[in-house]
Amino acid sequence: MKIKKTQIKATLLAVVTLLLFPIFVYGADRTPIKIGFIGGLTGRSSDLGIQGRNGAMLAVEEINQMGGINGRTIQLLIRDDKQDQQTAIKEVQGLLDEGVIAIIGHMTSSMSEVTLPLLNERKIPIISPTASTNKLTGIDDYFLRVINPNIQLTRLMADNAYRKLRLRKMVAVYDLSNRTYSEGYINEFKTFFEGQGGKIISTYTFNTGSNVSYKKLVRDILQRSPDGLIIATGALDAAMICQHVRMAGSKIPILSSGWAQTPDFIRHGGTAVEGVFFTAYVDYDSTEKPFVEFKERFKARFGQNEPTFAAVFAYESVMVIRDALMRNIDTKQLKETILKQKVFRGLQGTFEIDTYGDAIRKAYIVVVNKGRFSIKER
Amino acid sequence: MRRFVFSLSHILILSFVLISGLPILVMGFITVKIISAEITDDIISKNLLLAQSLSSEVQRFLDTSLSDLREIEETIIVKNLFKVDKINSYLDSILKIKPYFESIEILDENATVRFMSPLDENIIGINRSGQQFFSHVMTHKKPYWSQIFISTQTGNPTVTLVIPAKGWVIVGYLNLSSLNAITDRVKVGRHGYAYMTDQDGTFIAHPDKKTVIQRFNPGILNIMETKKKSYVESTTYRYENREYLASLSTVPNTDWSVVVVVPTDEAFSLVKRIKNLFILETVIVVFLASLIAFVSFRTITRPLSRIVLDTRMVAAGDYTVKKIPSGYSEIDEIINNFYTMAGAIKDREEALKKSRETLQAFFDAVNETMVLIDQNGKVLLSNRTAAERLGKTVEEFVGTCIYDYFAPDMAKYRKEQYDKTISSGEPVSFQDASEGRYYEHHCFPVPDGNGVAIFIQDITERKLAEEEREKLIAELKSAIAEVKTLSGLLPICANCKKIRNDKGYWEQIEVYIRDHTDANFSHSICPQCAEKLYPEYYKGKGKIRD
Repeated sequence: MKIKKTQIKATLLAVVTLLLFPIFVYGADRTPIKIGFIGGLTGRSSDLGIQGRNGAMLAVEEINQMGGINGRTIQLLIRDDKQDQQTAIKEVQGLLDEGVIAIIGHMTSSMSEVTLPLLNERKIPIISPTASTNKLTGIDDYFLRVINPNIQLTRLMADNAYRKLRLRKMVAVYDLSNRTYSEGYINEFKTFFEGQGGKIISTYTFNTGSNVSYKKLVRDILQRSPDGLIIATGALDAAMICQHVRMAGSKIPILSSGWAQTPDFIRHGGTAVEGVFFTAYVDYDSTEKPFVEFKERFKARFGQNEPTFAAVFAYESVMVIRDALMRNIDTKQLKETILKQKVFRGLQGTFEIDTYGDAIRKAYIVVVNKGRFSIKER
Repeated sequence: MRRFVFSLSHILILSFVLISGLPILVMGFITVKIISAEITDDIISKNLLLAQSLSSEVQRFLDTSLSDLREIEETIIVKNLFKVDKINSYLDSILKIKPYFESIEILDENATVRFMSPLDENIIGINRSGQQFFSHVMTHKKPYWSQIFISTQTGNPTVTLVIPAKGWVIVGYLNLSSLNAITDRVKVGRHGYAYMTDQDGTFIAHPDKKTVIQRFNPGILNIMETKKKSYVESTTYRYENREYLASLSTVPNTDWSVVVVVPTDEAFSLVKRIKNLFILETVIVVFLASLIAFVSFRTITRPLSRIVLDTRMVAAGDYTVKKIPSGYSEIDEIINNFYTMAGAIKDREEALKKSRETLQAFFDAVNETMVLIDQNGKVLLSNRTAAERLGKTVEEFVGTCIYDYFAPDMAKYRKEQYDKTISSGEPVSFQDASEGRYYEHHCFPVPDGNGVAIFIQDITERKLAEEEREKLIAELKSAIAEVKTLSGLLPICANCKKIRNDKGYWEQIEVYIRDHTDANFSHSICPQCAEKLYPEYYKGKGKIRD
């Protein structure tokens, strides 16, 4: 009754089969899909980045809770570009070395412009929730976005200023820390505004955080006796400028770029920001079911603050990647898959991403009313 | 379906392994469970105590900060001890001795910043009505702790403590580094630490300062909230691919959470070591048990293997096996019995062979066909005559199918008869013919009902004789019938000797006889008539020549 060789072989085969069973069952690639997030998470303009990060986190957590993409979870690698060029390049390089298949970010145009050559070289798409500079419009590169280029908003804003508010002489002020965006915004606004007959009589610039004297800045502005003021800065700076304008007793209409459209603007602006105009793509009073549910989930996850457009667009950016990967899991063709799909379901209806990766959405005139951003004109 | 049979070796090894390894496994499992529970309780209670202690410290810090603002209220608002132009200086002095305040503001009832330290012309005069704290304290008339936010002065994360003060509002901006100083002191094991979150779960103190200034909310509170239902104040959660054992204490008034965490793998490192030790022990014991089982198995099974081989030889008809003692009495008994049995089988087989040869000789002595077939027609036994009739030797014939030797119709007919014999259990006889010869079959069912013994007799000669006999009888009958025709009363003319036939005509006698018999007539004249008719020729000449 000695042990036969065939028995030994059979036993070994059974053991090996048992050991390899998990590989057969889970033979498919189950490693997490790495997606990067990069934005300004610290500093005076961090509100945009933090909201964006939270929106992206919520999207990733929801996707993972629902089983991921083809059984693979998403791992979100979060990085802070500190609104600094060198840091942005270093962090993006780090994300690429980590093997991310795409990056959500940057939240500002300046940073997007800085790191784009690196991403083009590595052929990794970056989907920006909020960078809207026209400098990156109409270029076939790896920069995609779920927000429209500024041109639509600046035209709408200039039209609002000249026709609706009947402003003729305006002063512009912008923050050089996000120059690509802010300078572009003001220049486009100027083009449209002056194209209609208005005039930008002065332009003031500063670098946020560099001991700016809002009092002096506003005094200089008001000495020019403008009909209105157009601002392209972050929320904190915009709020402080508004505070000093009203403190100086001026009641001139104030218009702001979307950069400042965050809760920090209301929080720091108080009553001084009542009546400030924005142009926006998000209707915070929307009763669209996906948006209402998103707001509830966002608040349940991150606390009392309501999501801003940065959170909404970051959330949608992740969902764009998810939709594309559901269509084609080949991550190397992610950009092409997104451009091919073209139409995506957002939280407030559908939006398009054109062949150059620029979004097409409906824009609104928004005004601060009783501490809320309310749609003035649809 | 093939039944699975365990081999002795498998049973033996499995028994050894189970007897030796199972108790260790069970004991190890129970021990590890008990130790894990003990360690968990110990860590949880210690960490919970630590968290509560930290929470108390934070509460004292907040109480102190609150007292500071109350003192300001008392000094400036209630007692009105300073002139308006001196209030900012007074606030500066407070700030110097209370470094945890980043700044202090005093707001009027319209939320306008009237006084502050350090003085910032960007802030003085601005409106704070947009801040949630203003409406909150004006409505509830009690202290308010804000969410974390970015300071307008420093751009750093800050928390505000706000108190209403007789129509005024005093706002203290608390530097969160003060909270970090509390949590930074905590070191639990090598990787355990403490952190704090605000009421929403956003970090407000953490060893990784980056998470604080980035206002990171890992969602841990949500996880703990979900788990709290089953385990109050302590739980485990997974964060960034590592599991933590967390103990939580809430700071009163602010709903901030102080959490002391220890990575589970570190907390249970002792358990893990014990577990590994048990695993190692189990592996060693199982290995040794398997080894002992294998050696025992080899000793026991070697003589058994020899018997297995011998049984195959015996089964193949080779009885040249030799008895080899094993050394084990039980196995020796089996061996003795086996070889006795093998000898008996050999004797019986020889007797059987002889008996078979005798039987075959007996069969062969019969000069007719004798065949034994099974229910399928397979020839089991045959005598020589049967085989030779089909052009075969007995050896060639046995084992073939009997129906293959006949034409289809005959094969079918014979099969029916043989089947009938089997199904009825009664002898069946029948005859048939083949190639001009006649056979008589006598079929007898074999006792087990699965075959037929057939005796086939060639009856051709007998059959032919019978046929000849039948023919003769028929002819005789016919002849008798003919004779009867001429028998009876024939009316004959007394003169001319003509006979009247059935139709009443008179025929010459020779015509009548010719028509009613096979006889014919040749006309001649007898001597007497010749002498009478032709005396001239015959008279005196003697006899007429016939």
